[in-house]
Amino acid sequence: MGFSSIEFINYMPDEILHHVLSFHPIDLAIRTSVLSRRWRHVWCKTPCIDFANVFLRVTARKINQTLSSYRAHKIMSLNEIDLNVITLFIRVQTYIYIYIHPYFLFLIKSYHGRYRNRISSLIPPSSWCDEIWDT
Amino acid sequence: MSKSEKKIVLKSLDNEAFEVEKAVALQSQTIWVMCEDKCVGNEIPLENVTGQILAKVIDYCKKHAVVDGDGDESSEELKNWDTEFTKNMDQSTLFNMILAANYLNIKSLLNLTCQAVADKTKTIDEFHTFLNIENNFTPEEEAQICQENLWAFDD
Repeated sequence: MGFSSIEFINYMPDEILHHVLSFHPIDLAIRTSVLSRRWRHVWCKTPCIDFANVFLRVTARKINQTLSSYRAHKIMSLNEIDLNVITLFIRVQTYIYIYIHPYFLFLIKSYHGRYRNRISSLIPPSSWCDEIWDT
Repeated sequence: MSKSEKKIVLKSLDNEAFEVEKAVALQSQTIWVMCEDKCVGNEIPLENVTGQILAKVIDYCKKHAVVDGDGDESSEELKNWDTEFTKNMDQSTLFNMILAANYLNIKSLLNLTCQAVADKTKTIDEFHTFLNIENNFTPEEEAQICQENLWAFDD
């Protein structure tokens, strides 16, 4: 009993749409909010956010702005940015791990404040421990 | 006796029966739970999957069971096989495969098929065409949504 593609959107649970969006960079995921009313808030609850390939044209302020409309209850992986000097890797599963370069510290502080209840541990990568967490 | 215990019959929505090795079928968490609960006999009815789709799902599971089993094939070969598997799937088959993978709870197949949709929707235009999405916003509403995350709409 197949269904035609035109009915796709009515049959697909949000979890599936999130799954598809999790393979896309965050800017494209956000742009799906103008596809149609059905898609308006889908991206907000995608459990993966990938800022990696938009990094060169995104500022911390913009990331912050984006996170403020982000409403996923469970974040499986929030991006991986690795450009030698700046790495931001947040992974949330049973625990939340926040790996952060000082550049992003202010950002994560506000993120941490907002999501305090969901954050059970803060674990910086070992190589950065001294550098970041002594400040 | 032992031979028949190793086999299991999967019955599709349209009453097509597929006899498969248990090891192949058990890649589906849903079937695994059904077998574990012993709530079904040797024949498992799958009410949400058609024969046409189930045949493809079984192809996938067979391929992956063999590789896990004897390790003959390299992961590279398996990756190529996966790519070929979804490459020429028409849109409706792909969507039905996603629903089947979701219902049967076969994580790797769900990943593969969702990735295939993502590969075909790399721009907003492709979203509209591939998923047949009609824009039902007014221009004013659309502009307002863009404002909320303006940076994402800059090119």
